[in-house]
Amino acid sequence: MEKQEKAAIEALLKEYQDALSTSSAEKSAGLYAKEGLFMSSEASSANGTENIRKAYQCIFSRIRRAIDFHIHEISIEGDFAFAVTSSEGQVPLRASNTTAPEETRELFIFEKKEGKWEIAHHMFNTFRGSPPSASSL
Amino acid sequence: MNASKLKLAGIVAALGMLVGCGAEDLTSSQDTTLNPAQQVEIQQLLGKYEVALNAGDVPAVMQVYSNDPVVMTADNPASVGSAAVEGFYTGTFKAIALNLKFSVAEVKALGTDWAMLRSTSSGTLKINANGAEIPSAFQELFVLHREGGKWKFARYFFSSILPAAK
Repeated sequence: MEKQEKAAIEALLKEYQDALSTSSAEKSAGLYAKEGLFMSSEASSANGTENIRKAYQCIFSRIRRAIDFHIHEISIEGDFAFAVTSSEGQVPLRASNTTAPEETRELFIFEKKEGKWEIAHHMFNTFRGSPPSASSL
Repeated sequence: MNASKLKLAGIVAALGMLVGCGAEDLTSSQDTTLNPAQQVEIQQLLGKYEVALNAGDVPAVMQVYSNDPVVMTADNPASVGSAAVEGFYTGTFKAIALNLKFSVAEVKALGTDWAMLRSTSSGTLKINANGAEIPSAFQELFVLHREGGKWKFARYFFSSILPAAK
């Protein structure tokens, strides 16, 4: 049973990865629960489908990136689950027409509603491939 | 000035530009599946973290974490396991001193032995090397695990809510 749930969450992450890779704010926001919350890096949180869609739209207007998640952990308890993932890549910067190396780490909290897993909370932050630094949190 | 300090300087310059890519209706919510005592316990755990963080007290910080913590913070490599997390805080406190006030935004059960805590924090960050104090604002997302009957931080992500330096 848990294997099936894990597979369903992996499928959801794949859908999300595809939505990001195609810069689709609509599809990205559509994978969230109606009252879901997106905690973007270097911006305040966005809650609810419309705010989340606008947040992705804002991000996609600045950067475009092909995403390939490495799934480090999926933990499931009943109708709740969380996942830790990361992705590495070069980020094209639209403004300067250059790229920057970047590792993005993601934390997802999922809820299953009416038999379907949805993203309830999602936060990411980035580590731009410089040597480990202890001078900032 | 190293890259991190440049970034911090950028944060200062960007303070007041909190528009970014987000918008939240500011309502705090608490799920009823956590009983009041559990909610208080989790809020107190965040309070202990705040005190330990502001005191630069590594042993006290480690007391709020589970046996297998994962800490992923912006601009630092992932810290996986107690030794790595302890090393991260030791290095951090050598470099900076924090004076942050945390506010709980949401506490919610994720089943029986897991829970989540969302918070924000703001205050100042002092660079020990030169004494410069920098206004800071963060958002945090914790996954908590109940170990031996006590809630502990098991996964911790946070990021600045201030736009990056351009």
